[in-house]
Amino acid sequence: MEPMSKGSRPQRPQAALRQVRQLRQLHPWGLRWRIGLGAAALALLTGFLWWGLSAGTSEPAAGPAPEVSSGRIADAADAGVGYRTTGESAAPSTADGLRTASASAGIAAEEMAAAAGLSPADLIQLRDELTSHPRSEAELQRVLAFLSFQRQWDRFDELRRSGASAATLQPLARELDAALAQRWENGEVSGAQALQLKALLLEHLLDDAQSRRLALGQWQAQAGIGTTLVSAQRPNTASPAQGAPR
Amino acid sequence: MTTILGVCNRLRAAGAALRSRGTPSPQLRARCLQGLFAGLLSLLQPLPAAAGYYQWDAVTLPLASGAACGNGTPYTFFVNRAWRAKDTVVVFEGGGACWDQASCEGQGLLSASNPEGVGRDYMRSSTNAGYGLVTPFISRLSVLERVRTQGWNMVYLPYCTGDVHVGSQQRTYADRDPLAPRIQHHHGLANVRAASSWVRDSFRTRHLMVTGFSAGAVGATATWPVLRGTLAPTGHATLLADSGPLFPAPTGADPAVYPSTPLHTRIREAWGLDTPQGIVPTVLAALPGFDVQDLGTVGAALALRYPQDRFGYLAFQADAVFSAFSYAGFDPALASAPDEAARRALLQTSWERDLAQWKQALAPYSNVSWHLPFYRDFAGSHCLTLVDFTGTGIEEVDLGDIKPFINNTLDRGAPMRNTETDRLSDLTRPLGDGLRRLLDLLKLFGIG
Repeated sequence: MEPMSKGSRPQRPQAALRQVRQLRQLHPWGLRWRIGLGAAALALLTGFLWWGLSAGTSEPAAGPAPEVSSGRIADAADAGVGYRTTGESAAPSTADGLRTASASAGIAAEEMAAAAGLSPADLIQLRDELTSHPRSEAELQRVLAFLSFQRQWDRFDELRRSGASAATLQPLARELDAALAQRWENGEVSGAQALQLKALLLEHLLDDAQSRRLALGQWQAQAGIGTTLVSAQRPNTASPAQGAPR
Repeated sequence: MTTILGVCNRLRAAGAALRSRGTPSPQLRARCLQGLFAGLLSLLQPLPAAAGYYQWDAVTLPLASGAACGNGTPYTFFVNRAWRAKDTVVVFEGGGACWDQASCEGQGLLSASNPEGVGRDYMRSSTNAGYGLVTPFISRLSVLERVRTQGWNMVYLPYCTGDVHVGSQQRTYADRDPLAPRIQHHHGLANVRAASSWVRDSFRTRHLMVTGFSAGAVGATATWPVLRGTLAPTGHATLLADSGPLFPAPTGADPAVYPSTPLHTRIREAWGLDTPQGIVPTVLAALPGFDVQDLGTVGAALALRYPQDRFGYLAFQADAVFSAFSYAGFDPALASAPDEAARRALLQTSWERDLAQWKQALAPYSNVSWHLPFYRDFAGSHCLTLVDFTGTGIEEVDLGDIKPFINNTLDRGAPMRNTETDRLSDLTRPLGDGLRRLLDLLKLFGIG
């Protein structure tokens, strides 16, 4: 707790004190004993679990990550029972199996890591963190592909903001455009962001505004980015000509 | 391992609380004990898997946690982790509010968003909460703006309860259709509590920034003790509340003096803020300086209670949307205004009065900053952090946009208190590329 500033009203300790007194009445043994026993039990349990997990696999702190490919977003109808993330983990691979898979794709991963701006040491660390993933090599490649895309985008953005020529920007825009659908498919950008990115890239790829609108609409339909017009029912109170972000 | 991490984080939070409080008192010992029990208990509970890197992962909270959307369906929020990131940005979504049947069902002007709940495919849609997802704080790419938090872990809390994330009550609204009433779960506070616990159990947080726009800004402010206390960041904690001010509004005060009093009276009752499990008795009443008769004292109370934290407040002086929420249903003069111009003038008068009193209440606290430009020709001058930051500058003090304000708040610079006095230049300022592109998109899809 931070020190209270001068002139502040004192906190209300009565309720907490009452709780402590009630605890003491329920449990005549002292708080210190209970803290000590609790800590000891926790240490034992933690040690046991740590030992058990370490014997099975060298799981990283990140825990199981979601699947990579399309269909990551689970059906809303199945929601509601327990905590869940979108990823449904398959049976974990063994460490040996992971090393074999890594070796076969090692060169590609190193090239991708370089493109993503990662050092060989970074790559080793990232790979280690992902070893527990059921599709660790695919997950590694996905992460590297995203980091590479992000780095390429930053470069494109810097050039764009500094007023680089179309000849410089177009090849970059084309590469980014080609990779965008996968980023959306992987759930790395939201629908709204994907449309914004696409619209911006098209400004550098197509001269004609009508062609750009057409291309954007087609891409949105192909990618399946939802456009349920929830907000259309709530026009802006102040400037109806514009959208109504609130 | 995730389980162990959750236990460690709970213990760390308990330890941090003890360390920062000096000599342990009986209450603190009891809290530590609670932390230990919670840690042990969590070993027996199914804990969530950690989210993947650079992906929006949906986390659906169990109804047993008390979390729910307004229609009673499970609450889902979204997490996007970055490799090796230690810092976390939490974004509260905005999108109206409701205290009657029609507005809770999403009908009409200023109604609440997501009346049918939030699906796990929410981030796939491009039109959530009035395109609010297009905020630079949940983008990994600098398509809109480059902000520091784009390399942080991100948590996005959608808004589906109509209660600015602070409610604790189930209500039946039958005023529009008594034969088919709306049972509204104003469970915003439970959603924040459960989501905070999930985040704490999933990854550690060094620096924390909590932000929100519109209704999300109100939620980010009022639930600050919950989120900040649960995540227990080891570094800086920063609030950036965009266009959701909790103005001074003493209970029973004259609306001519405190224009937000009728609104606050209404929402306290509708959303159960004063019920035994409500946010006032369970969260806010313990804050030094908080007056339970005035929700508007929360800003000062937070500044007092968390002197090492930074609180940055943003709003336009000509905000036509939040002002409409605040006064339109409560001020009879607005209903009888002869035309739109007269109505706007009345809204503006009340808004300016509230803004002035708000600044006065926050002024004594050195960890509070504000940035109040006059007008942006977009969305009724409502929200500065949506889409991009163009039009958010105060040129008379050499601020082209809010980025220096954000960085200063994150960096613990001297408090910035910017209020634009020039009321003409903003009226003719052109929109930025991001805003223009968004408007083109809206037109393309038949909106606007």
